[in-house]
Amino acid sequence: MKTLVLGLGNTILTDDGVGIKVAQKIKEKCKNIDISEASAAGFRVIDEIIGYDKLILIDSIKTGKAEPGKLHKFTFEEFKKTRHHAQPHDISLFEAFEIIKQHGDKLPSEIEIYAVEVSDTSTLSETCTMKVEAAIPKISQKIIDEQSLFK
Amino acid sequence: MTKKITIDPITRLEGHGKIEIFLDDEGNVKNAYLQVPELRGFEQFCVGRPVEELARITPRICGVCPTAHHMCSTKTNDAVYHVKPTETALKIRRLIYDAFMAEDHLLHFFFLGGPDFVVGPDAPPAERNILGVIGKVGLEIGKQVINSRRKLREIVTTLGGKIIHPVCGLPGGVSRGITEEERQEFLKTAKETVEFSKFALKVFNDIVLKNDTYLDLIVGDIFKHQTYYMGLVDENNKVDLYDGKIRVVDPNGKEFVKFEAKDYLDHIVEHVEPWSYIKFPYLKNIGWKGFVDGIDSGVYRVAPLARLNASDGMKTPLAQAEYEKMYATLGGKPAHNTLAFHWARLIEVMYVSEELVQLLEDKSITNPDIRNLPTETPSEGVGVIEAPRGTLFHHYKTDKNGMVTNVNLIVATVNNSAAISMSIAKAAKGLINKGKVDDGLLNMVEMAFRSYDPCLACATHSLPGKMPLIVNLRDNNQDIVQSIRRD
Repeated sequence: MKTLVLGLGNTILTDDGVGIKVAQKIKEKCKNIDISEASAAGFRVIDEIIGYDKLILIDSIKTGKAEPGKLHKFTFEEFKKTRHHAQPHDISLFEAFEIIKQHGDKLPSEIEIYAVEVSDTSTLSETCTMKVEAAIPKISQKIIDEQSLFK
Repeated sequence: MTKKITIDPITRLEGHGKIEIFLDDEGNVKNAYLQVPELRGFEQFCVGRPVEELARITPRICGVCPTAHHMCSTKTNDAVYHVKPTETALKIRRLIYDAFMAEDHLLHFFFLGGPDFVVGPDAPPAERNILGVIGKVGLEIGKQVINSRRKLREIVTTLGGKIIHPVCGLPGGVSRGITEEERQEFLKTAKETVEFSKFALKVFNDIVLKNDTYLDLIVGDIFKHQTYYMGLVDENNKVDLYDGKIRVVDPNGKEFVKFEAKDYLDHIVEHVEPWSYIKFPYLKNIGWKGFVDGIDSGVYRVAPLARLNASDGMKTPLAQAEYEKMYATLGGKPAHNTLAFHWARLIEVMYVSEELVQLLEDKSITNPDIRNLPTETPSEGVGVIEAPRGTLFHHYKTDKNGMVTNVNLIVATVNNSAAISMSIAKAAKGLINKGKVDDGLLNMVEMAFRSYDPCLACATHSLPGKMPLIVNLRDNNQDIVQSIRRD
């Protein structure tokens, strides 16, 4: 099964880049895995995932209901309700998937979505806040184990 | 008592960017503005780094127009190092930039701004998205949009090094040339893009202009503002997106000033309001008179329609013909109709496609002279470019080793910030009466700001989770008295 680990975020905005850092950490340990990173969403990243069987997406999230550094897991279904495109520059991941599917390209049949709870995404810095930075090794290991990436 | 309505539509779980509407004692709209988050510490982040690195860092500010930041930063690096790029390097930069512009504008028209028009302003929210657009124009066309964008992105990826954040620009040139094989391949894409631009304009003509309701919206008063307009022009005052002088015309279309990028601080000042992080630039030699229209107000606009207004025409024949048609329909130049930004955007797609063909038909673009090595001591420089959303300025100062000591950016949307606030207020005024909010408010306000295609958060990318559109009516204690929500 051809798997892609896609880290999303912005590595110069403190915690926003945590998804990319986790993806990089996974790559350090699992050399055979394809990883990709993008500071964009929706349509701007869709080309990256065409042709894979499985997609593991890692991003940041701010629910405000968990400790920074906590790992959340979502199903793709949970994002289907974001149909209204309020973001004026891009479309949601769900919309992007639908379009590409209609287009006839091969999309991953299995999608796992992880998101790390973060606290600061508006200060320019290449380092995450302490709790988030500290959580990166554990989170990457957890994803490797859960997804059996280390083969 | 001042009441405040907050519309919080702009993405992500934490809700970046808000529309705030203030009501007076009567419950009518007093003022409105677009609130954006502040990115803290940009200056400190850049200071002490090699100036060439800014071409890599500044595109990260924005996941939407990174190529614009990269090119602007590259041009600013030329200025800092006092080096002129080679002829071939300039052609390659322009090639990358035109491909990016076509791709970005097409994305906006069909997928982002398009839902307002192609699907229709009154369509239910669930259909006002890209899937609705495809439903309306047909699956085949949706495929064409995707294919066209993909091929244009290949040009940017091949020459820019990376698709989302290009890395090709160097002081004095570019890092990679173009082969004969690539030239031929890209030329095919360019020619297809010309055809696709014709098609996009036809869609606009058939679906939007032939529909009286839409046309009334475009030419009507609700989205109209009489402001100054700014844009880059070449030596013949034709629209140029990569280079030239900055020209400003007054609300009657008369040239007010034409200046070089390095002199921008003599012409632009940023007004600060206590309630917003965003600054409101205005024309220094007119002055700040508040959020008002007219020749005495220093408010100016940028972006596609502003560029066309600030010019005397387009450089290429098909785009020029469309330019003439637009102004004939809108009743002359300048056009003050905010919704015509969408139309102007398509005319620009036509222009860049034609320019792509011109650049690629010229075999000299494959010449090996892609860089002049800088020999001067770096010091200070200003760069300007027309980003998809308007004029973008970068200004850097360095020490003699090229380490950054000072950075200032005026990004495209900031230039439009006063006008965006004015447009939102105008749209809201017709729809809020004595504290009662008309159901159409969200649609109309969204249409007003979507025309400008504003770059808001410009950076963070947390998960696309629930993105509700919320209007909160608040009393002067900030307590919500009424809440309208759309998920």
